[in-house]
Amino acid sequence: MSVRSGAEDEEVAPATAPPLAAYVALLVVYVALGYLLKSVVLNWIVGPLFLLAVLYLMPRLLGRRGSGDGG
Amino acid sequence: MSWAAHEFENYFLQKHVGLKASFLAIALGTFGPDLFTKAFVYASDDPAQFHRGWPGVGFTHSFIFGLVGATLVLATTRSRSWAVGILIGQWAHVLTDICDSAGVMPFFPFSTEPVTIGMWKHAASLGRYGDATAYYSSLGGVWDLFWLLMLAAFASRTLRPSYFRNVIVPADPRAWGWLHRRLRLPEQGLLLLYQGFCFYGLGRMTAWFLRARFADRAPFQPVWGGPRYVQGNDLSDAGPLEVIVRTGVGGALFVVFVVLCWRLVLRRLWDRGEDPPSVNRGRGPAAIFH
Repeated sequence: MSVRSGAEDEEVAPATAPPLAAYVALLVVYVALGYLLKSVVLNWIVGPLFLLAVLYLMPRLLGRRGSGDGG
Repeated sequence: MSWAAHEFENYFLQKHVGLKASFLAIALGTFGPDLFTKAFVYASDDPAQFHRGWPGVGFTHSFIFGLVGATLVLATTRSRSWAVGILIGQWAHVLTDICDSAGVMPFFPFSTEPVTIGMWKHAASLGRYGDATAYYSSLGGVWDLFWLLMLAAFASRTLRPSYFRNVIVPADPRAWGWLHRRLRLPEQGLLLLYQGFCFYGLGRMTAWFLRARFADRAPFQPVWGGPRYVQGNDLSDAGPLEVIVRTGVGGALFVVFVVLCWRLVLRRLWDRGEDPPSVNRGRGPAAIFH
């Protein structure tokens, strides 16, 4: 993908969507959390960012911590 | 009020505008009417009047609110795709909220008559959780499901990575580029952010529906004007003819106002506005729809 940012163009790795099973599993988790915690997770900030946080940011953070521990 | 329908509509709208509006702006536009007011609505003595009426913050659910927002965005950023996105997102929210019993004042300030079809009861008087339970015990929940099915049937391709790459990003390269640089998110991260609005809609629709059935044990009453256990809260006692006349006059005045604004200010702002390189914007409806 070329994410154009003003004058500069930058080539980044092509996107691959996570497998459907990941979305489904995460939806079950999110619904369970929403059922129990209500507006703590069912709000306009946490809700739209939940996919990004769990499927992208969390694995990166855990990976970084794991590699730090190992090193 | 509608709940998850507002998230699903975004993708449906996006499919029809393609490159000509920013998805992030559409999402912000649909959040707009409730963004700064919803927390105060539940604390109000008369939530329906405060949320949708005048005096109150009902003007946020009017077409002029979206027009002002889009104009400010166009004037400050020169981005046509953001201005169009804010406008159609906010207007879609206004039209959707006509369905509940409180209705909206689409042509405020030219008409303060609420317009409603009373499909389900506005239940903010029950508090945030009671509101959610009532909504997902009425045709409101069915309305959310309807928009989910519309999305699945007619706009599911908008959720694919290829659509994100070929339409969503080229329609708004500045904002996605900014997110990419500032948050150091590669395309997969941006894609998940984009898909997150649909995920949120589906998740909250399911969670609130299950809570209504199993935690609150509220009766499911998907009938016109339900749920019956919520008291009526119409903001106006005007008859249908009165509503039609007042709204018709308000609508005509609004159109005159928009035409005047276009000739005096908006056309100049639009002409000096900018489009991303990949956007070939025509004139008239073709300037918005593809």
